[in-house]
Amino acid sequence: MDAAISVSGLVKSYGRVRALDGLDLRVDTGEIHGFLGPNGAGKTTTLRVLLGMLRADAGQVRLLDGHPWRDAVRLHRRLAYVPGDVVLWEELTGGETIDLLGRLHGRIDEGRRAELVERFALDPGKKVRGYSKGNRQKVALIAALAARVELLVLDEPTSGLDPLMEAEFRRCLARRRDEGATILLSSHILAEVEALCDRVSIIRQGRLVESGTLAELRHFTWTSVTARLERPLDRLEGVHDLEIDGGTLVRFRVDSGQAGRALVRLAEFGLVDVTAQPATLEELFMRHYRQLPEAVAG
Amino acid sequence: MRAGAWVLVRFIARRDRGLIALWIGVAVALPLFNAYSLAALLPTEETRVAFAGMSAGNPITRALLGPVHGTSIESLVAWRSGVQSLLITGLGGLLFAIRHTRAEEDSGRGELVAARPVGRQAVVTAVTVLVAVVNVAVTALLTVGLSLGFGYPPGGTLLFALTVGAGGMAFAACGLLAAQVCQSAALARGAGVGVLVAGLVPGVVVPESWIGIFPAGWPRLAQAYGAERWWVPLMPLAFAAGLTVAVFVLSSRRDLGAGVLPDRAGFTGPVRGRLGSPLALVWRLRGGQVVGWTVALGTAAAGVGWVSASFELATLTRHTLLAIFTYVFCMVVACLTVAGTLRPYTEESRGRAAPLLAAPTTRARWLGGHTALSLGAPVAMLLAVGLGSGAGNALGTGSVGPLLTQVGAALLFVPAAWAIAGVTIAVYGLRPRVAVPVAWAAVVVSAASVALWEAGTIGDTAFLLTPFGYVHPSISSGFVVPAAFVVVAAALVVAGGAGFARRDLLA
Ligand SMILES: Nc1ncnc2c1ncn2[C@@H]1O[C@H](COP(=O)(O)OP(=O)(O)OP(=O)(O)O)[C@@H](O)[C@H]1O
Ligand SMILES: [Mg+2]
Repeated sequence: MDAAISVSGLVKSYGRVRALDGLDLRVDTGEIHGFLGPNGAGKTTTLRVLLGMLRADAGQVRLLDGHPWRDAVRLHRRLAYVPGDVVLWEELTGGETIDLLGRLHGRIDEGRRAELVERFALDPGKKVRGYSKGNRQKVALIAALAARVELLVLDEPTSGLDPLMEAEFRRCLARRRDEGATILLSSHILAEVEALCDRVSIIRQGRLVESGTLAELRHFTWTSVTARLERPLDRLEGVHDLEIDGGTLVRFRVDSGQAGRALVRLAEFGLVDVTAQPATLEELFMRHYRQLPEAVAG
Repeated sequence: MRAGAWVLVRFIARRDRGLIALWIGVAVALPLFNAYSLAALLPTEETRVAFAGMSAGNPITRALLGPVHGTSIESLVAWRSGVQSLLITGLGGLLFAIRHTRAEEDSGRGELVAARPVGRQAVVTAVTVLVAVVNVAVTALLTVGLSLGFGYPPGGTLLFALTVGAGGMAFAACGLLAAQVCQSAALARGAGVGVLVAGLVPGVVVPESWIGIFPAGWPRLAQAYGAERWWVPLMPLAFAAGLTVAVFVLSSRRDLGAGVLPDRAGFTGPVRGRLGSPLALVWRLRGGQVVGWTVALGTAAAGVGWVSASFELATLTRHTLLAIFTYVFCMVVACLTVAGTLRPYTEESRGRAAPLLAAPTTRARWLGGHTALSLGAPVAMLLAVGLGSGAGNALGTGSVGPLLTQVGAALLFVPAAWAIAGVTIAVYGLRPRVAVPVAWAAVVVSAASVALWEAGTIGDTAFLLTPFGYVHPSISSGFVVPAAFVVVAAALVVAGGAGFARRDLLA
């Protein structure tokens, strides 16, 4: 599959702060790609480089079939963006704002726009001054989702949306993907990532630490096992955080790929019941966010 | 590179239609008003000759406006209006340019636009187009108004109007460049207004033969209704074109949000304990600016004091020169006072006051902290002006006399500065949504009344009611007026505080 976005060795510094330090990123055409990382990891900076707002200090960046800085106008016709901090013109109404952004873009699907306004329950006749945070966010989202584009770049697009709107947003995004659009989604909401993303990339301190499908990422983690036995057990090798309750109820974590050995041992004690759970996304990301990049890579 | 510019032109024109109308209206009305009032004041050739002689003898007027070239009514109107008109078209263009470029980037809206298929130079192009439209409109309306309304010769009128319009273009280009170079809109506005003042005031120190290279010299050089040098409007246009090229180069190279001159970096370490009280926070927010401006004013004043010690020109003695400059410094301090006093409005409207006021900080303490600095800052700045100019002059002349006189002269402006701060605090407390325009309008009206008084349109009593009245170098008023200003200021501050305590927060 060809890449909609490919970045390698990207470096960007703000004065002495090195925000991106040799970042690699690949987003395939037609996928929803989750872009994750702790605060200050460099997600917004990466997106701004991709949009040609910041010039890379070093590294290769390719967006669709062009160079994000040199071909900015041509590429921007084919993409839409929702910034991390949505600030609008206070004196315009929501509808006028969407109109303005649409006219600047030039490829707005009016039908889709009307539908989105309805779905997101936005009152387009109100001045932005009078909108709540969530409603401002909706304005930016509608302006982006109504555009006929092949790439959507979204920086924490659901901040401020209520659960109902969040669900609506997920439906819209899934539909856009089914229509063939590529979506790069920076997010801190793991449930959203889990529900939507085909693949994710995790960055930390300006570098890629992990990239793949969620299943692949889980592959490097563990499974939590709870088992009930007929005969009491006192020891179990090759597992973590072993808890034995009254000898016959055991809980432990086992590294992915190692579960078989443990289960064979348990069978020797008369396995009555077993539940196994893959690591939750939270656990997975905590691990990546906390550890040093080297430790994760190794 | 300019894709999207047309959409932006229409958007900005619609968004700012009120401001644009005001800008054109004031720029056109001022010369028409001068034409009307001077005609009423000087109906005959004899009165005009007398007026020209008197003006030539007044060193301040002469230094600011240059020599009178003719005694026809139209020459006098052109002479009188030239610098004023440049000030208005210049200030309008400058602020308009910064408002739609750097200020938009500062707010984050620039990002929303830049992510669309909009060229890197689209915004700059759109602003340039609109500034050009406005200045063409001003030129056309001035020409029509003066030649049809007052029967002035169309040729000279067109030249006068072209000089004004082209000058407006030049200053707007300065604003665009400042917006590219400076990393915040506030810094860009400061730099732009600095250039404007430096461009229009040097008549005081620059000899007549050199004045043409400054904007202040353009109307003098053009001599509408006199020698009529038609190439003069080309100078500002060429200047504007050169700057615009530089702007285009910069805007196509720099990162969004970045400048060439960085804003002062903040502390990265943990916040020190002193920030506990509202006054400490206010100082942290505004203290740097106050200190910076105080030092800058003191230094500039020292330079002026020192230069003027050895200054002697036919009609302009060192005393008058020093007095003029002190007066100009007072006007600068008045502007800085308004800018500083409006800070609580900015804090509140951006939602930065609410978290503090939700914590156990009372409204009175919060506004009190800001007010203390708003009233203290002009005192410090004026003291710096007095000490600087006095010390510089004392150094140059070798006598300490000027030191005391200058400190006294500068501090005399404190009540007026407080009154201006008081007006700002009062509107902020009572009608916050109009605080910014009303506060600045108060300063503009006060400054305009100087021109009106000098032209004889308003009398001494009316002039003394304005903050710039009693400190004018040609007026000595005693202490009743300044004392009255202190009382008025106190009343306004109390009114503002009471209003603020009762009303809803903006955000
Ligand atoms: N304009 C700027 N000037 C200086 N440093 C900056 C600027 N913008 C970002 N940084 C720094 O660059 C680094 C990356 O910031 P970035 O905004 O890209 O992080 P992020 O991953 O988007 O974080 P978040 O999840 O909080 O949005 C941070 O250390 C940040 O402090
Ligand atoms: Mg971010």
